[in-house]
Amino acid sequence: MVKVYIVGVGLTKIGRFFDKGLRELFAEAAFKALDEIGNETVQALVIGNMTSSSLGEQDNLGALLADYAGLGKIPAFKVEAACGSGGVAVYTGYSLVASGMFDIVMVGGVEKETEYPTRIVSKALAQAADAEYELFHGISFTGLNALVMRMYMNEYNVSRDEMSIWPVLMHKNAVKNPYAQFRFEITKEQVAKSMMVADPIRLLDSSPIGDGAAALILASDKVAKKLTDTPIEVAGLGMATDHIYVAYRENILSFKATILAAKKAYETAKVCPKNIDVAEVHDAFTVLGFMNLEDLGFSERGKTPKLMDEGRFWPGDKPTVNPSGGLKARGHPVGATGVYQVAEVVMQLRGDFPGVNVGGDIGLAQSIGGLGTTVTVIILKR
Amino acid sequence: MSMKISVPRVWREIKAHYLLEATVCNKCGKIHYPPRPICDNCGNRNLFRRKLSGEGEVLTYTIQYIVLEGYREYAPIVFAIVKLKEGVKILAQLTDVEPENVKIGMRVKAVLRKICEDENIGLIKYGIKFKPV
Amino acid sequence: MRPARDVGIVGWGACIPKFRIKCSEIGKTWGFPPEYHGGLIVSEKTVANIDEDTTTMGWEAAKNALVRAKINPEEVEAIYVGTESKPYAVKPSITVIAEALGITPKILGADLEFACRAASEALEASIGLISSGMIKYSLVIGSDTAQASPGDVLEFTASSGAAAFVLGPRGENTVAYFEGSYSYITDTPDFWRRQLAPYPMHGEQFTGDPAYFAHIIAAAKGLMNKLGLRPSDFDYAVFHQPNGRFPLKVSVKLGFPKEKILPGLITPMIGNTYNASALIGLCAVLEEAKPGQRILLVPFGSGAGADAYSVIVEDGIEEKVHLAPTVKELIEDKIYINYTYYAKFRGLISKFSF
Ligand SMILES: [Zn+2]
Repeated sequence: MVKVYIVGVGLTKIGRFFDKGLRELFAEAAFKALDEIGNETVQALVIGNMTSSSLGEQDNLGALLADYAGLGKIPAFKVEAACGSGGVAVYTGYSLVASGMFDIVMVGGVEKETEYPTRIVSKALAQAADAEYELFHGISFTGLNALVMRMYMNEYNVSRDEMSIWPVLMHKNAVKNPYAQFRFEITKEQVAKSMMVADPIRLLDSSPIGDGAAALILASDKVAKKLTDTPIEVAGLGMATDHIYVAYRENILSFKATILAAKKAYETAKVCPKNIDVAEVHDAFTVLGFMNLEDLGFSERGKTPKLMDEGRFWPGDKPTVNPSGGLKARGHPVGATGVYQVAEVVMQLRGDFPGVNVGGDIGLAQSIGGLGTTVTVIILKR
Repeated sequence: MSMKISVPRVWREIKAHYLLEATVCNKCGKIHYPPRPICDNCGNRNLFRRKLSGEGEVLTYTIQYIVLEGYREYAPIVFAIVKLKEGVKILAQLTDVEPENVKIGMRVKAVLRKICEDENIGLIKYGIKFKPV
Repeated sequence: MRPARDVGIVGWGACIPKFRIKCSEIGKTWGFPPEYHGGLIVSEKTVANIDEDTTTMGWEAAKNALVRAKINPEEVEAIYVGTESKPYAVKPSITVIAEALGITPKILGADLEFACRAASEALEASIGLISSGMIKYSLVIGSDTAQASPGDVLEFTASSGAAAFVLGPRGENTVAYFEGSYSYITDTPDFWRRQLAPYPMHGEQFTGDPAYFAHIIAAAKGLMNKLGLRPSDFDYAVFHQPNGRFPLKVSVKLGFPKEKILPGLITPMIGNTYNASALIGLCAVLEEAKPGQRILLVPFGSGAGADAYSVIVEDGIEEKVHLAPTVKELIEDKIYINYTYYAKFRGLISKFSF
């Protein structure tokens, strides 16, 4: 297989942009990434997106965006794996280059979530679950995660305030990130007093609704060096899926798909958890942040909230977790999130991330679609 | 006028939703809900259908205040994962219970209830919810 | 009417929704004086939960009846629901109930309408089907989420509930049988609801003498004449109970002492459940009756008609009482709500595209 490098990245700020649609958001990120490679021609485009169909009445996203961003009449298509679409887009883009089919591929992620009121957006996001057996009952995606959070707190005897360290740290990290949706600090008291969405999940346990786009340029080893002085290698990838009907799973407090995807990624990159310097993980809700660190092998089951409270995973620790602020505070433009994470880790390793930058040689990005249903783990090396 | 609930879809899933019909592996005995055509445990494709008891206990639950389009009048909605006495876990709503009285381990049984309706002209969607025993 | 072969009750069951509103709360909301509803002898009434309707309550009562019947549900060959509050104007409720009981598709069935008397018509029809040998078991359900215009006197009593009976040929598994029945029907417009009208209209005082009392008394007397029985031959009497007062008054007119009425007089605690009204009363009586005792049952429906039945309790009834929740238990299991919740549950608040 051809070695694959990331040679350019571009991000938009995440927020509620009523003046921008899917195409404007994507073009902004794409132009930034193209600028990093001297506007070299890309040969194919892979787009990660979840809700263009349900909220944007837009299918055929590949053609639309390739055309609008002036990428030419290249092969272009969307991949969809709910909130994990971005990670799967990177996974797909990687295969196109690794297979030798293309030398330069753009992977984009874009999401436009603010076209409708929350109750309608929530319905679209809930489509990540099993429509016929979960969404059938009217449960929201937050509701599903709340079932897991209560179980986690009950099983490991973790209090509300102990859980709150996650959003507190994420908001702290995001303050310096110019792309983040939330750039202010919060306290545990504020978390405990924030609006109850689906008990025990409160508003400040939840990643926000937001618009955003991210773009990466993937290149083969043949051309990577010609396009940039700082190529970052995609050293390992893993992807796995699990029963979509959450109640079917034997163990609800661990995502099998994360464990399998991570195993594969660590193996292909020939590294282990303790080698990871910086990680961006999929903390759509507080409980997921902790579970992910446990499933990725960074922490012991049920102990993560306490460890984080004691300073573990903070900037400078190994790994530093979510220096971007994570989904919680950087924001979660659903299908774009996985692309943001990879771009952020690239910048961490290049040393030019404009927020909390911890440097390092090896980074990891984990993206989840649904409630642990589709997971990608991507390992990058400087 | 619109039709927001798919009629064929509701119709074809009646057995699974009204009667909690599962598929059971005739080789290893594993019970599958939602029903599936192949055993997840042993790969056997020879499965038969069986109604589940509808009796079980609450494994975990949430009280959902921010609800999806079409569910405001039902809010707050209590959702739970219920472990049936057959060992099968099922996601459903709890009903006829005040949210503050829901507890993990609470014994519940299945009842037929209205899940939602397509405004006041469309289909009424029925399904199983659980209520305290 | 006497069937060719005796038909009996194999199982019975009730569904009484958990929510209650006090009549004083309703009165206060609409500015009635506190004494206004005192004469109705109804202190509180049931309110169906937001996710309950005639169909789901009918299902729950039927489920309880099948549990007490101890038969394989697939042996049921007919299912009827009597209701005047169908969730769909066109589309049967019994298809949903039958499907959810797992007794489709080899069955007869229909939703019947005759104000509060439709379920009684289903009883008569089932007795005929079973005694003729056409079918073995029939499931008869009375279920209503009774409508009342907000602010109407009817609102103090119109409530929600269901009762169900599995009928079958008299034999080993019946716990009571029908000794005979007598029907009395005339065109008496005491109460009606026109097509597309959300709430019924009623003739107020006219619902009494020419309607309720005339029909119930005629049916009861007709039955007693035919069977050669007197009030003293009955251990219990259960009448349709639109409020607490009418059944007490009709029993006086017929010569039944109060103690024979009270065990089956349920409306004072739960309101008028329309098609389930007299039938929940019968359920309550079956839950305390002893083998050999005789029960007079007289459902009534506006428009108007009444059917009187003589029911004789048989051996084995006590063993079935606690197989499913009893009427007493269901009455005691309650949560009080205020008028705001009541209005939401009853769909009295119109939302606009939300
Ligand atoms: Zn098997």
